[in-house]
Amino acid sequence: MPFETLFSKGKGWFNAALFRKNITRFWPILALYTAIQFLSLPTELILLSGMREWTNLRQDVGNAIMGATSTSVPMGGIFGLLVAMALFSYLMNNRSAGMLHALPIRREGLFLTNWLTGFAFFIVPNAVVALISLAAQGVCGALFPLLTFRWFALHTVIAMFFFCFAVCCAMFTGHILALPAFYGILNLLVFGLSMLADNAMNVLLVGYGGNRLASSAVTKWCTPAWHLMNQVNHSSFYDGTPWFDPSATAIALGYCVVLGAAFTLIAVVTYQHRQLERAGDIVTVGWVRPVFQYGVGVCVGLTLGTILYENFFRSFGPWALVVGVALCAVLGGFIARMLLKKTLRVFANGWKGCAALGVCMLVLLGGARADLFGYQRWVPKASQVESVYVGAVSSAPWDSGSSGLNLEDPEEIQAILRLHTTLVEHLNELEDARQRDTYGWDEENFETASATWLRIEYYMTDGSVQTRTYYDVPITSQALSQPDTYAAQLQALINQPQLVMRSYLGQNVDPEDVVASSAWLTNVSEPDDAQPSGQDLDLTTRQCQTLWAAVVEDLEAGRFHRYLLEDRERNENCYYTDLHFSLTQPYYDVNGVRSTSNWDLRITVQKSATATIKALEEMGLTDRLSGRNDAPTGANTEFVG
Amino acid sequence: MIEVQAVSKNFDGFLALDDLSMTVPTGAIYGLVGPNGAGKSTILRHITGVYQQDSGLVLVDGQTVYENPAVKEKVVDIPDELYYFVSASTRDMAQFYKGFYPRFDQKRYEALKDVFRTVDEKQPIRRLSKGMQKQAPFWLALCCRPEILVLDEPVDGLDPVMRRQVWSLLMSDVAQEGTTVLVSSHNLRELEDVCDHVGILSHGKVLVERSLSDLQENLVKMQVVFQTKELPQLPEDMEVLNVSQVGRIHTLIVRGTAEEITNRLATYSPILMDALPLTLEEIFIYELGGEDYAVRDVIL
Repeated sequence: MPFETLFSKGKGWFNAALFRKNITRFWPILALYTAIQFLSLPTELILLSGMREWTNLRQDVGNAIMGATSTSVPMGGIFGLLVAMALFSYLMNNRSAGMLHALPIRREGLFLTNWLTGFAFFIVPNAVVALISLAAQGVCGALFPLLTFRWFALHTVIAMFFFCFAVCCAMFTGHILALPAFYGILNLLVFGLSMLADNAMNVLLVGYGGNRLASSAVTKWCTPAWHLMNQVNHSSFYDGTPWFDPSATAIALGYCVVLGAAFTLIAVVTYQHRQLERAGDIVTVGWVRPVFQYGVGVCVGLTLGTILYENFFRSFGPWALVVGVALCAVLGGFIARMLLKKTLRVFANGWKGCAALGVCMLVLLGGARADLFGYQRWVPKASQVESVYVGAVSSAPWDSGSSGLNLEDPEEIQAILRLHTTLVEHLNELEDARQRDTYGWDEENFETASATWLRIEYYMTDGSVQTRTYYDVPITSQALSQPDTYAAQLQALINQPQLVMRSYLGQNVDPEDVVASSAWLTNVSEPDDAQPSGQDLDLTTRQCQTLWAAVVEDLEAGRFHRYLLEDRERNENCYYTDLHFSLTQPYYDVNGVRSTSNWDLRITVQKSATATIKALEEMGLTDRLSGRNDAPTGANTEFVG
Repeated sequence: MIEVQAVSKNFDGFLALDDLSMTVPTGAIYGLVGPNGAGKSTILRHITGVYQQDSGLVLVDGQTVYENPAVKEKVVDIPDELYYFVSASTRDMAQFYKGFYPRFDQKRYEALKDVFRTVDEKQPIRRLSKGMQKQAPFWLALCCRPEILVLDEPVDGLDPVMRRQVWSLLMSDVAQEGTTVLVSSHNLRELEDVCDHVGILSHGKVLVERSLSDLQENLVKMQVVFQTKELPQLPEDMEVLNVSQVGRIHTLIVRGTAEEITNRLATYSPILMDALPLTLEEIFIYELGGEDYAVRDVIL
């Protein structure tokens, strides 16, 4: 039986007349897509073929293909939406919906025909462009069939994914302008909500810290554009050969195929139950209407509430955010109801639901603020912790020793747990420090009060990671002098010799294995002047090795110190001059191949580092050290050393 | 035959169809009349398979219509609000419909060019005049050779000559092909000329449904001059739908046959008595009078 007869009677799953009509109606979109694709790849390749005499053609052709591949996400995102809007626009209008659904074809038939039209809109131009590109590569003499196939597969599959997503959105709305809005919002919804929730929790909870939800793997997976961009851009040109990560490409394709199929399935089922009389409504599916209303309420509440808090009500403290978000959620609920009901008169019938939403937000955020779940007070037991990373501590001097610390030793873990416990016992102080400046200087301009960040990552024995970040831990000279304070505990922790050593050299680096190949001093002074000249002084290899041995000796002896305040002791002990080493460490990679890692170390010369000072004395270089205590008052506050 | 059995449809709390039942016999021209908002277009959209009822059954030749392409092949509708693809001409739409309706008759399409000669088949329908835009769907619908033609306010906007031409074509199809025509219109005088069955809808229900002749026989307009100027006390079991008086002439709209009512009023020895048939418009008005839709002070 001929194709036309088999499928066109309206009893099947495909109607050729509708397919043809779709093509003839929406050809401008097809033409635009084809033109852009043609310009982005074959045209580029044809232009390159004319430059073969003065370019590295093979590399340029590879780069052109990979560059064109990286546009697959924005192209798919835009054209997936446009094609879906065009093909399913008939659902947004009573007349067109009535006309097409009176035809002798099932809804599944209409859906599949339109879906296949969308598929044709992407696969046909991409296939043609890929073939022309291969021909152009042949002319260039640089043929990349695999890269070209990757271009074709990613462009087609990603566009189809976004098309399926947009079609799914179309099934839930009856308003053509709501479709791109829903599509855009839903694409970024998880990321946006995570950001808003993170922001609110940062305000409400001491120790929450950062974009924990927004940067989570779940958020990335639920934000298609972000996730796909990461996967698609796993390519480069290495040593004259194009390279891409096949697993990243496979993940991108698999993600699109699986989720695209899921969206299509949801769309079909929704279409089967769609009430056509809802054409023109913002939301067409009954159970989605309250979800939309209260979802918009929550989003408006968090967004507007946060904006108002950050710009106008910050001085009122975190409870202002709680109240603001709740009130804005109520407002958002009413706005959503107006959109749903297509009238401004929604207060009489809608106030109960909106008020309930406001109360829910109040309870939820108020509960978080009151720490009903014990988040702020939580400190793990030592037995639950496998290791701890301590980072983001602002400690002078400002050299290579400012990096984070990995703690695995039980005693070190106990020390951080004690510190954390002390912090938790003084949450009010931490809260106050967030609201007001904690900085202070004495009459000689030495720092007496400051604040530091502190990030504690607990790697638990159950495999989970728990993080607490304290943005403004107040540090005062008075607190530093009392051993039980968190400031003193933190100061003591970061000054443990083995930790100072690790903060400079890194985790699991044995100084015995490290070879210093060169060294130089920066910011030295002239011999007859204690002021820093801003000049460098190169050292000989012998001097380098002598100094490296002295530095290692001082590090092992705990003679290099870290300071939480720019106080008198820090200023008197530290020079402006820094000692730099180029270090090399041999290691064996996972395949057992010997290799080396190289890095530069910068360490501020300290008077307490007696072995280093002695070595410099023996080299006659102590008069080139620019010292803070030699500098006139006023220069002390400059963070040079 | 179209059978609608106890169909209900609710739009956001508004009961558009309330347990509606009606039957359209095969080969009939069935006029569906009713006040605005009675549910005429809604029930037609159920019969064409566009809407799904909340409850009840919509059957064509014993089969459900909704999502049944085999049945929908037999049904062609011309809705009150026409839709055509942007820039599609009558010829384009004919090609389109040909892909859906297996009985689409290209020869008839060519033959009807002469009837609809004012319609430029190559011109986009949206650029045609309003009247021509109304002609195009008749041209296309007739070419689909439907067994059932559903028309919602079909001839509004057509000139009298074209109206007659269109009805002539439809009645010819009914006579020759046995086509069933279900038509909704407010133009009752026109329906009266073409319909053989009438259903009156109000508040989502069918109030009356019968053949036009039965309907006309069941109501009578009596013009009577009694002995006294005032209207005498009429029998309680006489169902008088409306009474009006001009001078000494009383006009009574009474349920019953002309013969029966004439005999009963004769007992009052009226000076003058005449039984007149009601027009469909009068039937519509008086039947709906009891449905909170009365026309007061109507001069007949």
